[in-house]
Amino acid sequence: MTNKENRRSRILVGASSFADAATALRLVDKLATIFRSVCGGVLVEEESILAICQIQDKRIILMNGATMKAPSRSQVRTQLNADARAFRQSLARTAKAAGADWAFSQEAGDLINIALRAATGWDILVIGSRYLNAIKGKIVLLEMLDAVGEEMRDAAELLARQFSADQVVFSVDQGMRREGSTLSSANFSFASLDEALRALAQTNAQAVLVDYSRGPVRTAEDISRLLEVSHCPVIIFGISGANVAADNTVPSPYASDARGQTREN
Amino acid sequence: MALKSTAKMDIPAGLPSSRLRIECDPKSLGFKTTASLKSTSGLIGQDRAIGAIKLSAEISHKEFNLYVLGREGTGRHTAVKRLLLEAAAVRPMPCDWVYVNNFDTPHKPNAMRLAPGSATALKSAMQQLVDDLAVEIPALFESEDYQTQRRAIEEEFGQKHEKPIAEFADQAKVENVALLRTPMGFMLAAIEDGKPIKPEVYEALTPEQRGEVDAKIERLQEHLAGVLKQGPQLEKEHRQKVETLHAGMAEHAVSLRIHEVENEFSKEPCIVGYLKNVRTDMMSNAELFLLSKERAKDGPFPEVIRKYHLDPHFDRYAVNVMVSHDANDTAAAPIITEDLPSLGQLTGRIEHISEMGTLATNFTLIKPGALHRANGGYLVLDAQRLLSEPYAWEALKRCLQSQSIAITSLAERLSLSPTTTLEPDPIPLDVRVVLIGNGRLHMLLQNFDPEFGQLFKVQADFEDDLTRNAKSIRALARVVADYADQEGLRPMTAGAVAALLDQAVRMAEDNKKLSLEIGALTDVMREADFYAVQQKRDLISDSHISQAIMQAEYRAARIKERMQEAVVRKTILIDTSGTRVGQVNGLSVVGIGNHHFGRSSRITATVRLGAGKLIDIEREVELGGPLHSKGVLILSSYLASHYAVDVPMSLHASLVFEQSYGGVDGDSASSAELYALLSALSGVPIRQGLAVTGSVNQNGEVQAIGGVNEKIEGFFDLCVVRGLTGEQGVLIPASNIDHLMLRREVVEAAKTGAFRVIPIKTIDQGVEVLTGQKAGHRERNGQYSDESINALVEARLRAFANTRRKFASQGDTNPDRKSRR
Repeated sequence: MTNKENRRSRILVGASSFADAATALRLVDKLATIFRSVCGGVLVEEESILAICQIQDKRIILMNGATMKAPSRSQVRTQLNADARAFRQSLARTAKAAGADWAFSQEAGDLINIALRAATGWDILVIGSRYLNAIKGKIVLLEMLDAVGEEMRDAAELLARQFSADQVVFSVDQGMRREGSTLSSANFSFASLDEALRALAQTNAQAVLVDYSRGPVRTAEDISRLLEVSHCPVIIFGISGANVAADNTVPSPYASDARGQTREN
Repeated sequence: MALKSTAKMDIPAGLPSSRLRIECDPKSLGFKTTASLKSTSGLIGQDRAIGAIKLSAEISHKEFNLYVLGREGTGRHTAVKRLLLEAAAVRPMPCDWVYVNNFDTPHKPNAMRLAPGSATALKSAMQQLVDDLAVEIPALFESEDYQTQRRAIEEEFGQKHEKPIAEFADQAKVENVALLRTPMGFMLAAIEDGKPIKPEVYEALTPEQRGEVDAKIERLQEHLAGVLKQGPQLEKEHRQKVETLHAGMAEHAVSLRIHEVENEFSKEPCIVGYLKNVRTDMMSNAELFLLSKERAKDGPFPEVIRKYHLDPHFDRYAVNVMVSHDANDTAAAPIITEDLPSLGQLTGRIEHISEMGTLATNFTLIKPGALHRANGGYLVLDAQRLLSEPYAWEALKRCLQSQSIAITSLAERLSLSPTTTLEPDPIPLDVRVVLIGNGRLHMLLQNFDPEFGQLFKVQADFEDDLTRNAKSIRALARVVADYADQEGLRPMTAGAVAALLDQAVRMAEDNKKLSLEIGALTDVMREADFYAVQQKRDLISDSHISQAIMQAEYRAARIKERMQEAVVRKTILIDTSGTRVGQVNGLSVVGIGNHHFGRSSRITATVRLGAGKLIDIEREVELGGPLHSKGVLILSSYLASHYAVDVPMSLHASLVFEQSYGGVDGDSASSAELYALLSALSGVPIRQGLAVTGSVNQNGEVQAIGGVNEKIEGFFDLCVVRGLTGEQGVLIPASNIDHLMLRREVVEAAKTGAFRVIPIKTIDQGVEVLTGQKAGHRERNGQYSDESINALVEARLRAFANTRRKFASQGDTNPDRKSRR
């Protein structure tokens, strides 16, 4: 049994805007004090979004349903700079509350790839995503049947308790359903990741937890699909062993010069 | 003018020594020591004032508030306290008053009148209610029942919004459109090769293809906008449903506990009504009890014993006790004395606390004032202090007129009020106010504040003294004995009490009166007791009393002795023997604090031909006050009306107090000034061994003056230092005989004839004593008796008139102008 009191987990938050980052930081806030984590953040300037804004007559839909003309490239950049400041400040607050170090970086490119690359050396990656549903939903564990990380379970229970939310387990058994297996009303079994994702698309989730090292989500593509259907932050465990490019642009705060450091590329 | 020598008349013997000091006989007191005396009510000679206090204390009509006036030390405070206690004892105990939250308009707290003793009980009951519910309600929300219902609501509303979102997502997927998250909001983009379409690819499309893409994007945008617009409404419905659930969960627990409190206070309809509002508010705000539970987890104390009611969130259910009475006490109205009658201390105040850089307040920060505490009873205030406090007097009047207590801060009155303030219900006021002050203040209020007379209809005017008779002497003896007993002093002998009463006569400045300044007499007793202790005596004797009086005199006598020294050393010129023309010894009283002493002054007069002008040099240089000037004008009228009335007044005279460089006021020296003038006119010298005091009227009658004892003793002390000659004394108005209570040394000197106190009724009488010559009277031929002083004065004035006529006939009507040339 892992000694929780001695566990230190490093959590990295990736997002393409402060609105998305805020949803992730809300969760990290609860996790950080328990796991005595160190925190990092990476704000990714998605090229696809900048490109789309160049198309004429594009419109933005706001959270209250109103629409407005899409901003220009330069306006998006300006907004991103403001988002970076806000992200940094919130991260520092969260880290301070947990008594942890923090680091921040600003990148450009694809959110998932950049976040995965940046997550080398970190234990947990949280991809931020603002909510579409006005009502906060369940805490969803997406796991391989009989291959569950204790840390992820603990985190799910903690979040469910903190937010007074139901906890639901989506188990993927890759077609190896066992006869006579008993499932509780909070547990759902699926033959494949696709099935699980289809079910997740119909579920009001507040956060989705997955273990990258144990599956069923194992690739950047899986994460992208997961993010697309869940419409909520995705918390990815087992990320430090992930096979990603070595060019780590958000060094762990355990590096000698990384305490409270901000780096912008 | 040639003076015929005439045989001088002897100086009269003056008053017998028995008239100079009428002492109290210890044997007449009827006891040997005060230890054998029974306690008295402590009040004598104040029937008028006592009647007024009783009226004000007992009458139920409003506006019969009381002003108690009199000198310090006459027992005003003692009398008021004693009489109010008697009146308060038969009045019912007043109600309790509390402020509670007005849930609809929190800035207007409600006042509640409760039965005596109920306020603290209600406060405790509400605290207990909050503590109980703070434990019970969170437990309810942790119950499986609540969790199940809550989950059901979350599921219901979550699914209500999730379904259209999922439909949108499905539709977008079918139409190959991606939902992008930008920093500002959501954006839809067509998908090309699994990724959002790039601008150059979009531009490369045909217009029809672009139109198709744009159309589906727009359709989906509207779809998504429609889905998102549902969000706020769903949130609202979700919130309402959760609140209803909370209210329903809380309702049972709240109702049960409130019912318990209602049972306890079932006889108080206002409490029952208040509890209904509390119940409604608690059910609507059940989350407050959950918040407190969260905070409790961080606290050091177990939840079951934690005082949740101290949490500021529960202030809304607090009971702010303004006034409470113990129902177990013997019923009695309150008597409150407020020593600092400022606006806030009087009417109460609303305190503020700093929150987020601003000042905030609520009904729990209302603090009661003296009017609240005295409500239903009596409030005693010092008038001088009350009027010294800004806006306090106005506030008191306003409260008495409206018969309610409205709390206003000084900052509000000065328009400096903070951002939030309260308008609490005014509390009805039923109080009798007693102001204690001096007579001057009372007169000023009567004359210049019309509202004062309206609100303070009763005055209790304390006497300064009472008539001296056997009964009053014994009564005052008992009173001073009482005071001595209260002060824990040693018992006094009859002799000591007699000596004290002699001092009371002296203080009254009238040997037919006894002073009622018990405070001053108590001071003498206390000092006498000190000396008795020093001498290890069990009783205070007359020697201790005398010692106390003398020591007090001695302590204050430095300036008096320095003045006397100046006279003895002839720095200040005063003659106490021989005779001089146009010069007389006048007497005045110098007052420094509570100590007064007599002082001699040389008054001189010069005369010459003139135009009828009498110059008062003190007035000319503005050292003479109006009363002094009046005296001089009166004596000049006397002169003009008694001598040479058929010729123009052709006198130029001047009067001065020699070596006097401070102010002079009062007319007690006007007779002395007239004597000096008559001496100067007649050329007859005045005996310098005699001093004079007394005012004169236009008819030549000598009138009474004040401080006669100090004046006589002042001149006596000077004569003693130079050596008594047997031809020294003081002329006093005859009407001052009853005011004599001289020191024993003066009495002894008078007994041996070494010093005289000579009563005078008229100027003629006085001039005879001072000059030793007849004053003279008008005979049938209209002339004064030959060789009399009056004849000489008249002759001199006629001579001036004749000389002036001669000058006038020579064409110069102003001899003064001629003389200046």
